[in-house]
Order: sequence, then C-alpha cells, then structure tokens
Amino acid sequence: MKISSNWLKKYIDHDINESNIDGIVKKLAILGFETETVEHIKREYDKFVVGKILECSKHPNADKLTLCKVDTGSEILPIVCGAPNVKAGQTVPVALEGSKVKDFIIKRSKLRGEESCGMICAEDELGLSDDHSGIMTLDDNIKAGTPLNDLFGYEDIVFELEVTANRADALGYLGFGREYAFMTGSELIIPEIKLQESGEHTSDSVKIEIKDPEACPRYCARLIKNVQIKESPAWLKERLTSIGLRPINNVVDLTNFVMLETGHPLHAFDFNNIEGKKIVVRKAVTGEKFITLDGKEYELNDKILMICDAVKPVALAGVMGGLHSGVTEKTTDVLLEVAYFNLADIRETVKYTNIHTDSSKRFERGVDPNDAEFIADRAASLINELAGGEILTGRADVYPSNIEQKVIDLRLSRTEKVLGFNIPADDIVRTFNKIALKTSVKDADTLSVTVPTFRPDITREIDLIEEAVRLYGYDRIPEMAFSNVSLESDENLEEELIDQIRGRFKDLGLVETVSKSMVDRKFCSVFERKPVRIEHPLNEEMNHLRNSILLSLLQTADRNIRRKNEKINIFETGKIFYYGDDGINEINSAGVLITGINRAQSWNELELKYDFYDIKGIAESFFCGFGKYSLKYDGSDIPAYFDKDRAVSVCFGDKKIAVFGKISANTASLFEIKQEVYCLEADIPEILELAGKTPSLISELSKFPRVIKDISVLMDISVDAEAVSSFIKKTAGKELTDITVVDIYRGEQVGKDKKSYTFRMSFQSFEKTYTDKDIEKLLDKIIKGLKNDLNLEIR
Amino acid sequence: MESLQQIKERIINDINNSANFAETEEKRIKYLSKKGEIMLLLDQIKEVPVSDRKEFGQVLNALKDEALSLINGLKEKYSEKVSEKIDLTLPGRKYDTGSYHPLNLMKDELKKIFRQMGFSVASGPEVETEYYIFDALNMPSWHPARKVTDSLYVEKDKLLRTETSSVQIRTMEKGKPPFRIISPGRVYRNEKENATHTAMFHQCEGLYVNKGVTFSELKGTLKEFFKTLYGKDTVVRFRPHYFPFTEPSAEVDVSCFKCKGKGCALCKKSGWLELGGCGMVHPKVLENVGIDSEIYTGFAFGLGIERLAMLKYSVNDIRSFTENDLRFLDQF
Repeated sequence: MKISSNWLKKYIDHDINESNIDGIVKKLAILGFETETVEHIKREYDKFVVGKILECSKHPNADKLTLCKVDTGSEILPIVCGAPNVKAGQTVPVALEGSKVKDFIIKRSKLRGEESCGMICAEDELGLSDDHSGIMTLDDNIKAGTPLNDLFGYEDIVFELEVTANRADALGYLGFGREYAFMTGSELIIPEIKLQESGEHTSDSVKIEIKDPEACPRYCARLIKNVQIKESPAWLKERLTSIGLRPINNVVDLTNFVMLETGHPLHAFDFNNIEGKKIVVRKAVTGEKFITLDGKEYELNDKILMICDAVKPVALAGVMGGLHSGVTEKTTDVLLEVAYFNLADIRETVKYTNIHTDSSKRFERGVDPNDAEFIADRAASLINELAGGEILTGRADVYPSNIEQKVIDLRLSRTEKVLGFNIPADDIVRTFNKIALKTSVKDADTLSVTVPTFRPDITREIDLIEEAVRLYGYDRIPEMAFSNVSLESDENLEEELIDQIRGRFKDLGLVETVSKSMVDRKFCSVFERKPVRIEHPLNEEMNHLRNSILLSLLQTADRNIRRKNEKINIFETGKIFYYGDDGINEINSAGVLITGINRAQSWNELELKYDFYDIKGIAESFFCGFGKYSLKYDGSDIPAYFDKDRAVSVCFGDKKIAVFGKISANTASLFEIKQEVYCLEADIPEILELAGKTPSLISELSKFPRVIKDISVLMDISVDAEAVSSFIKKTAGKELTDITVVDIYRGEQVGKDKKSYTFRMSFQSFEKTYTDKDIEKLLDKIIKGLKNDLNLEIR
Repeated sequence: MESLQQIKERIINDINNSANFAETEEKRIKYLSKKGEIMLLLDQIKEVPVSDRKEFGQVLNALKDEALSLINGLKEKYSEKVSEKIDLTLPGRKYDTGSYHPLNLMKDELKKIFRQMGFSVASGPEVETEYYIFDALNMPSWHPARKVTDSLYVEKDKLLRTETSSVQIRTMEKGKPPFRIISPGRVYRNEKENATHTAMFHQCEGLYVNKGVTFSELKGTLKEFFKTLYGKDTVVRFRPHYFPFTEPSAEVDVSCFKCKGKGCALCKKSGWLELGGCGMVHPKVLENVGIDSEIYTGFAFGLGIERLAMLKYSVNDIRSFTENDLRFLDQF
C-alpha cells in the first residue's frame, strides 16, 4: 500500500521529511512493515507566473498560431501560442524565459518571424495531468505575476509499504497510523465528523433485506439526496493521485478516500437506479448474468454473493459495482453502502471472476464489522461538504447478530517458553494498550487481552505472543547458542546415493547440469513413460513434466550446440514424472550425454570425436564403482529413442538397470540436433538396489609373476569379441586374470567377410611360477577349443 | 691368480673407460648379466671354503652394487647428451576434471554445514497433495499460493510443491519428536520468469522440534549457520513477517559478507542481505501432525539456494542456472 506522508500527517502529529525518512523506514521494518520504495515527489515551478492575456491576433505567417500580449505582472510580453482555445482576457500559466518545460528550456526566440518571450502552458506541460487539448485557464481572481509555485507547488514523500497478508487493518491510513503513532510515541488523530442530517429517516427511504446473513453479517446504508456531481477539489485529487489513483468525480473519489482512510471499502450507488428503493443481499442464481462497471459480462453461480435491488443485481458484493448502478454526472441521490462480508464469500467471488480490486483485497483479508457507523457518517459528511445535498436522518443498518470482541488469555510463562526470554508484564500491558489491544492483569501469570474486531488476525494465544515480541522489538531478541544436542539421525540412502553418483560422474570428467522439470509436451512423446500434464502453464514450454532425464540433457545439448560449444559432456540427476498403474509416479533418474568433440586437435594428437566406446567406457567405469557385480550387457529390447544397433542395456541378474548408446536420429532431430549423441540413462532406485547389495571383498593378490600372451583370431565379421573372449575365459579358468582386444584387422589379407582380432591375455597362478611348458599347455587348450568348438582360425 | 681386490679394480676401471651409452651397455652385459663375470663369480660361492664364504660374498656383492650404480650413472650421463631438447612451453595434454552445478555446490555446502550442526537431510515428493502443501501448514484458504493459476497443478488436489515444508509434515507424521532436519530441493511457482524469478527454484528448509526450543535459539542457530557460511563476524537480524505456518515469524537479514555491513553494491548500500524466512512452528501445524504444542515447541526456516548461489558466485541472472551453457558451468 502506498502511503503519502502529506496525507498520513493528517492523522499523526509527526513530521516526515527528507532527513528523517531513512530512519523511519528502518524503524518500520523492525515493526513489521517493509518499505519497498520511497519516492520524493517535488513539483516546483521556477520562473513560472500567472499571466493575463491582454490581446490576441492572428500570426501573419501561420494559420494555427496566435500572437498574444500577456501581462506577467512585471512586464507585458509578446508570446506566440499554438493552442486552439487561446482568447484575450484569459488568466493563464506562463513559463518565462529560462524556465524548463518538459526538459526544454524556454528562450526568447522568433517563431516564423514573430517574437515570442515565453510560453503559455497546457496542463500536461505543468505535470498536472495528461491534458494537452489546450492551454490551462486559471481563476480570473488570481493576480498577474503570482508565482505559479504558490498555486501548484507541491512536495510529498510517498512510500510503498508491504503490508503482510494478515494485517488487513493496516490497509488504511488510520490503521497504519495507529502503528506509526506507537512507533513514534505520538497520538493518533481521528478525524472529527460534522454531520448535518435532515428529512426522513434513511430506513424509511430504503429497505434492506439480507437473505444470507452468514455471507453478509452487516449491511449499513446512508442516503444523500440532491447532490451535485462534479470534479473533485484539488486537495482530494491530490490525495488520490499521490498514491496512483485516478480521480473520477467528487462522490466516487470520496468513497475511495474514505476506504483508504479507514481500510474499510464502501460503495456508492445512484439511488435512482435502485429499483423498488430496496437493497437485497443474496447469492446469485446459477446462470444469472451480470455486467460489471468495466463492461464485462459474467455468468454467475450460486456461490457468488450479490447486492441487488428489488429487481436485479447491482453489484458483485465487496468486489465491483455494476455497469448501470454507479454514480455518474447525472446522479442526484446517492446510496452509500458500508457492509461487512464473510471473508470466504468474497474470496469465492474473486476466485471465480478473477477480479482483484482495492475493495476485494480488503474484504478478503477481513475488515472491521463494527466501524460501519463511523465510516458511513464520515463519508456522508464529506459528500455533503463537497457535493452539497441533504443527508437523510440516521442509517439503515441491518446487523442481526453482533460480532463480539474476543478476549484471549496470554500466559507470561508460555510467552517465555516460546521466545526463550522474558518480556516484563508491564511492557506488554503498556504496548498492547497503545495499539488498542485492551489488556489487564488477570493473575500472576496471565494477562487478559480484549482484541478489537479490526484485528481478525489475532485469534489465539500464539498471535498475542507474536504481538508481544513485535512490539518489544525484533532488534532486541537475544541470541541463544544453538543447543547441539545429539539426535539420532535418519538415514537417507537414496539422497546419499545421488551424491555418490554425482561424484562418480564428475570424476569421469563430466559437467553437471540442473534443468527445469517442466517441459514442452512435444519432447515427451519419444520417451516411453506416460507424461504428466500441468494444468495451467504460463506458456507452452512448461505444459508437461519431464518423463526422462535424457529429455533435459538433449535440450541442454541442443542449446549448447547452437551456441557453438563443441565439446558437450554433461550429466544430471533428478526427478522424472510419469503415470504408472497407480497414478503419478516420480523417481530419481541419472543421465549422461556426450556429443561433439572429445579431444580437440592439438600439436600431439588429432581431433577425436565422441563415439559409442566413450559412452560404454563411462558406463563401465561408472558401474564398477558399485562393487564387483557381474553386470551383463544385452542388446535386445532397447528403447526406441536409442539407435537399436548402437545401444545396449546393462543388466544385473534379470533386471535391466541402465541403457546406454547412441540416440536415434529421429529422436535427435526432434531436438533439432544433427550430430551423433551418446547417452546413458539409469533409474536411481535400481542402482540403489545394486548398491545395497554387499559388494564382494577385494581379491587377494598373487605372489607369482604374470605372463602375457597375445593370440590373433580370424573370424567372420558377424562374430562379436565378447563371444570369443567369454569362450577363452571359460576355457582358461580362473588363471586367466584379464583379457582384452589390442588389435583389429580387416583387409584383403584376411578376406572380405573376415576380421582378425588380437586378444591379449594375462595369466597368473596362485600356486607357482609358470614354466614355458605350463603356458604352452594353456594356450594349446585355448587354441584347440577355438578351432574345434568355435571353428575359428588362429593366425 | 687374480685377487678379489684386483678383479674389482679391473672391472671398475673397465667400466669407467666406457666412452658412450652403447659401450656402457656392453659392460653391463659383460659383468652383470646372468652370464656376466660378476654373476658367474657369485655362482662359484659354493666352491669357496666355508670360512671364506662370508667375506667372498660381501666383497662380490659390494662390487656388484658399485658396478651397477656406476653403469647407471654413466648411462644417465651419456643419455643426457643424446636426448633432444623438448619445448616445455607447448600445452600439456588436456584432462577432463568435470564439475558440479553451482546450485548443487551451494546445496552441498548447506548440507555439510547443517549436518555438522546435527541436522539430518530429509527428502520428499515434488508432486504433492494440497494437504501437505497447504492444509497441514495452516495455509489460509485465501492464500495466493492456493490459486490454481499461481501454482502448478497436475491434477485436482495435486500440484508441484510450492515449498519444501511439505517434507516437514511428512517427517513429523512418520515419527515422534525430537526432529531436526533440513529438506533441500526443488520448488515450483507458476510465475513469469525474469532475471530474479523462475518458475522452478531450490529451497533449503530446516525444522527443529523438541522440548524447550525457542525463538532466541532460532536466532542463535541461524547465526551459527551464517557464521560458518560467511565468517565469524557475521551478524543476523530478524524483522517481523507473516507466514501462515510459523508464529512468531521473521525475515532474516544477514550482514553483507562483502562489505561487512558498511554498504556496497551487493547489498544495495543497506549493509544487509535478505536471506530467508523463519519462525516458531505454528501450534496449529504441530497439532495437525498430532504433536502436543504445549509440551513441544519448534522452529523452522527457509533459505533460497539460488539467492545464496547468486550472491556467492556473483550471478546476475537467475535464468543462467537452468540454461546450462557449458561456458558458464565450466567455471565451477
């Protein structure tokens, strides 16, 4: 809420100026009112005076210009004016030589050959409004030469407060003023009401019927007849414009003024448009239509509370008036509504119509049900003052069951138990009474606090404890050392595993990414899991939740490729979401993506692009960190987003725990990626299962020397390395400690459909040092097996 | 017959006369290979009378060591002469070191500090029901976060969590006090994105429920945390605020770690950094999970991980975190 200091000063006896505003802002923060902005508003008119136009004549060389002779008090100046409404005899604002109009310095000059020594100003040029239709005319009683600063000069400090959602009372100058007065030790000044009533009693002129007293516990009205609707006087316009409201007419402006003053919204109807001279408060009939004052039509339902006349609805209660019931320049009789609505009903209307107004904002948070008399009288007297007319006697007020003030006990022992320090009872009593929480001592440990109905936020003891410490001063809260008592800490295995996985990927030289969970639906389609839709996304880019971690990684890859980042080696862990048999599932997933250049060209090596064996190496290194499990690689049943000929699953027992390989060209093209992309994807719960198994102990080391032998095998190109090496392993038994492929040859020497693999084998015994004979025997067995069982040729 | 001493002198002399690397290697073969002179002599030890064996062995072994070190020294000397001068200024081979994401670095740091302070790390679902996000946390029905347009709903009554406080409820539901946890993780709002707001961000919330937990202790605890994070002269300030799930509630300001409270660009000249919200767990929240609020009290706090990371690494645009440009990430 915006607070104009000039306005606030009407209710408190405390000066706010440029020199003390910083201190005030700090103090307000400690009291719980954060200031978002502070604006110093200064309208100063240097070298502007009031002038009288003595004569006007046509400019000889320009149709649209007029030559004026203007009396500026000290001299008579020639001024060329372009406004259509300029006339001799007018009293006008004049910018003299050297003055500044909208960043433009006025100079003595010749306009199409005619001398001009100043400028007659329009309202916009003085910063008073946006009006540029013609020059501004002033009251003829003002003397020529009067400095314009005396008329329009203006200074204010406007600060925007963040009022927390629980403090509806501070959304008015009087409510905020109460806090401000407490803070500065000054008194709150409540405006005096001078009310002149006449004629018949209001309740005889208008009937009020509340059909839903739960939704509308109170409806109070006043009638002012024969008013004259016109522009508001300068002071009122200034109040509203200073906080950013647009003045409309005297009555509407006054209802806004009183709302801002008291925090309690009120509404003015044109009484002649209230049919049957009757107000009915009821819920709408489903399907009923209503046009609000901004011309929008709403189809209502039976939860929406309406203000109606004898025939039709005239307002969405507490939120917005209707198109045809408001006060216009034709209005003569004004019906003023000061009502109290149930908070939940207003929220229902706001939720349904999505209309947020200054009025709904206050009713939603809760206004005072018991200040209707004051507000109705205050508004009526001001209308009477500014718009004339007669205020009818008394109020029409329907308030079937009085909303009482709550009395709540505050235990001093409890206060200390929550706060950890003692606030003396005297302090609490004194500060509470200052902000109208009537407090008395009940017994040695208990204070009895009567909570005024303008503080609906205070409903139980804890609310009073907060008030006590707030008024005591948050800056005075002592710090008590953290008691590091030892508690049993819960294991969070999955969280720990995620950190372990992240560590492993980082150690493999990969870069971690963090992506949004929200994604565009079009990317979900290639992944197998059924995606989860977001109901009201702000944009299409976030209409679903990611159903694969690879989705995020592919998006990141695309973005980086576009930005010409050549080496992309990334990983991410996080939740993915999908529909399972029992509704929405979310699991942690881990993914790796590599694409582009693995090693850039350098003086000692050629450029090396990422390929399948990079992702395979990453997968192998990654999984070997979880213990010596026999993981199997399986090329069948590969998800469609992988290239089925370039991808494998990692299996533990019968369970598939990860997939890695080349992303299919179709999938890559969906992400607009043209180059080869390699990924690894694993569900973390599956790895958790693996990691949960006790890993086998490290193997003992042999003391005997290792013997390394190579063997070259000629085979059909359709035969895989794995087929041969597993055969060798089986044949050689546990003395074969390692086997790897060290050379591959394809070419004319071996024939078109053949290839030659050289396997390097390490043998080591736990029992002896091999003799040449031992090795020969081992090799012989292997070679025979390869020849006879696998039908392979040894080179 | 040549004495051992003479043999020794001859061999050492001969080795010393090697003129180059190749000759030195020849000498090694001549004296120290399996069939080399010294080795053959050593093989003869069995034929030496027992009384002389010891001395024979010692002298020969000493000779073997001396010859070997002499040969190695010569080899080194000659190889130096033939080795080519290399260009030491050429770049070394590149090794990938990998990196963690700055948000996770920040999260890891928070986890480390809070673990040291005795907090456990708790996690929970990101898609939650209104009960865990709003109702159990005493969120009034009119709270803006409840608007279907302000939060990301995926089904009726199911939405992406707007706070990680839902984890607090789940933790308290499961066990009995005392509880001392932090729950770092992703949270979501249906919000237009700009340099300081994103629809998804990370929070780290903390909760401590026990007998005798107080507002003063909350301040002391946060001070302890921020001292570890920003240095021991760090000052913590509370300002009143309103959160439905805590009362009394406070916003937490911490003296600016860069200017030590003097005022700089980082803290916008105020000397303070606004770093989180906190308060005493609202009795209603404790009651909702069946904890007697007369016996137990608790505090809770929430920190924005993006905010902390932006300050720490001088990141100006919050969107850079999820953009994942490798040029950005490679710096961490």
